[in-house]
Amino acid sequence: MIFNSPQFLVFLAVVFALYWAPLTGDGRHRIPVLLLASYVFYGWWDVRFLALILFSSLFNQRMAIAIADAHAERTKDRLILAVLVVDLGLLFFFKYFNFFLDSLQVALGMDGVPWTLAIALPVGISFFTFQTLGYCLDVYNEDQEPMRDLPVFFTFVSFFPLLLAGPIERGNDLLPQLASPRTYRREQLVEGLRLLLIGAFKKMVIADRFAPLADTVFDQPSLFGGLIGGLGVIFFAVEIYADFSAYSDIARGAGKLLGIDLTRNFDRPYFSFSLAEFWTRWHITLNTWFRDYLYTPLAYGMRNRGLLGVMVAITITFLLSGLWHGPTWNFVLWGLWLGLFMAVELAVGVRMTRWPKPLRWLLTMGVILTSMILFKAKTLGKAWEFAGNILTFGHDPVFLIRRILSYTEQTPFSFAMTLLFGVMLFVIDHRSARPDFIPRMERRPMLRYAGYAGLLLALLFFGVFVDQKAFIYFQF
Amino acid sequence: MKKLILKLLLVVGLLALLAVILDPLFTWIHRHGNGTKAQWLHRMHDERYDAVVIGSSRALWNIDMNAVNAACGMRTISLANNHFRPAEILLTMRVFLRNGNTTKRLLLQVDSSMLTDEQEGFSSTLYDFVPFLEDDLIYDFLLARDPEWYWLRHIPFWRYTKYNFKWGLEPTLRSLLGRRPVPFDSTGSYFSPNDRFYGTYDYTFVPVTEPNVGEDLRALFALCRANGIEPVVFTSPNFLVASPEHIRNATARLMAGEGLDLYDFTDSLNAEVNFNDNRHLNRTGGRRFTQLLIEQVICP
Repeated sequence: MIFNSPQFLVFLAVVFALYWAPLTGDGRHRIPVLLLASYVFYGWWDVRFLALILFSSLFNQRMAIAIADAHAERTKDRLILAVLVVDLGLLFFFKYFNFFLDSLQVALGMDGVPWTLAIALPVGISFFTFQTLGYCLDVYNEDQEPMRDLPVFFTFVSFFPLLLAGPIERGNDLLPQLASPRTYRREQLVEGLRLLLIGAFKKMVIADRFAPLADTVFDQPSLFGGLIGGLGVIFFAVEIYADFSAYSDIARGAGKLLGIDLTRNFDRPYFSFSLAEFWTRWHITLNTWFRDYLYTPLAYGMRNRGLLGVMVAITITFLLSGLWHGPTWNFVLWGLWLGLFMAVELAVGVRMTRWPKPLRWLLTMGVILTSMILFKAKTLGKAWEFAGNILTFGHDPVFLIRRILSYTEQTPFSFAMTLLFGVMLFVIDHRSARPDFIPRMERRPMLRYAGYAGLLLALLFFGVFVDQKAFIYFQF
Repeated sequence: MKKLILKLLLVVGLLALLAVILDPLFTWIHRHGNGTKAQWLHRMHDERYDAVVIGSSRALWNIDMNAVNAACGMRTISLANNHFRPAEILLTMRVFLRNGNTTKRLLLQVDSSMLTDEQEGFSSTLYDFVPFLEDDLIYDFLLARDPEWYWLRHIPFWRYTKYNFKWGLEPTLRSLLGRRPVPFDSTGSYFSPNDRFYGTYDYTFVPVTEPNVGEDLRALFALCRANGIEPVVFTSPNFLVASPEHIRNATARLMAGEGLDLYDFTDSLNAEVNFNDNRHLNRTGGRRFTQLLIEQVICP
């Protein structure tokens, strides 16, 4: 059940109705409703993995309580070590075991020996594992009280709007909201509906229209040559921006409909003037997680080595962030590529802030866009082939544009509309940064309603309803 | 909350009203359009042909029907279409015959991919028939394959929303203004305008044989027999496409089972100079292939 499917719309409406229905005077039914809905949502993907999320929830809840109740520091250390081993062990087994074996085989020159296991990757495992791990680390560091209410904690782990692709919530942000009685607030519901509509538009009218363009160019780069190859990277950049932004909007919108405010996970990252700024705007909760639980301890551990220590810490952090995204060498190199540039940016330091803004933006986007070749290509070989093709020219660009339109079954008009929607997204995102943007919209109800009608009609006439793709981050 | 729900219901109601108004309007416009073979078929009644060519883009692109008509003195037409597979071909022929049209021969282009679950392009082109769902022959055929066609026929405007890339706002306005581009000539063929090669030297084709995909072809041959049509089956040329032996054998075996010869032109023009890409002939290749077909198949 993907967020952009009619099933999800029906599911959300049913959950919403049950959730706010006056079934109990004090709203006690709401956590059981949320928990049941979350398990139905997760089981919809693959019912077998319910056992995994149940185990993970129970284990982390009990361990966090044990850590909080332990008096001796040594006991706490042992308990948190057990949490790290079990949580990361599960993640390793389901996500990285075959990658590890494959790589070992290649290293030992034993390609072709069938060592790998048939392991299905449970959707969302990277997200809920990091959420529970972060929670236990917070309890260990005494930044967080343990949650002793079992249903509330289970809902914290499995809350369906964030289960598959984040945001990776902190216990301190989400648990108090779940544990306290919620009251209906009209503004919250309106904001939720607005986010759902905007998210659906971004996904179905922008991301899914750019997706076939990017897929076609990346699948057969030699058919398109350099110019279209470069455009293919930009198509993918727009696709993933709209896709992740849409997911974040829908997740937050669904949360708001249920009276829960989720952390903002995406904040117009392509308007960044440095890589450091970019990573505070893209997948914010994941990067915050890596910063707090990996980079900071690493940098602290290497503080005696000065700038070099910090540069090494940041490179390692990005390398592991790359690996978090997927068990392939593409992602490892992607993380390394970004980590190295982040380290260089760190070394350049404040001097960079004196450079002209357009230059800083170009440099930032240059690094991000080149990294996307590794992110998008299915294998290292494909990435290499793609990069090689970007440097080839000679074909007639008009014919190549026609070819890509033919391959993706688009007319020049529909291609122009796709580009127009893409440009609109960035113009609106740019404008929305102004402090008076929201108040101005609030003061002009006719403009607002015209905007909603426009979004609905765009969905009706230009939305992608055939061969719908799941959100890109669901695969992680 | 009551006020909010009422507002939401109002929005839903307005959308439903819009759908109820637009659905018949779009249907009426598309039924009078001329941009697809399905629209052609809708208006084609009681025509007499010596031969009908049908198949995928490799039949649509590669054959110069005007040259065939001139060389053989025949009245022929191409009902081939980009991405056409046996299901679309069978449905097309059923509608063609139901409308009182006749042909003496059916020149059927088959691909190795027709016996696999590989879909040419991105999706099946059964959606070509979207504006004609009120036609029970079409509706029953589609419904038997996917129950979703029930909702496409009965929820107003859902078919035009779902398949908006083919039947949405732009194609509708173009049809209304008579400006919808027709991607084939008056004989139903599209002949490549140039001789350039844009293909690749490492084209990989990894098909998966599906045991039941031959069903539609068998039904097509039965339809031909029932209507006194002689089916003639041929493959179109490829360039550097390694088609696995078992797939080729499967095609030939199916034809042998039907008592038909397979005119296999797969490797007949195997040179870059003949192709636009690995699967489609350029202008020169198209001329050569048309000549081969004329000499060996159509009027030897």
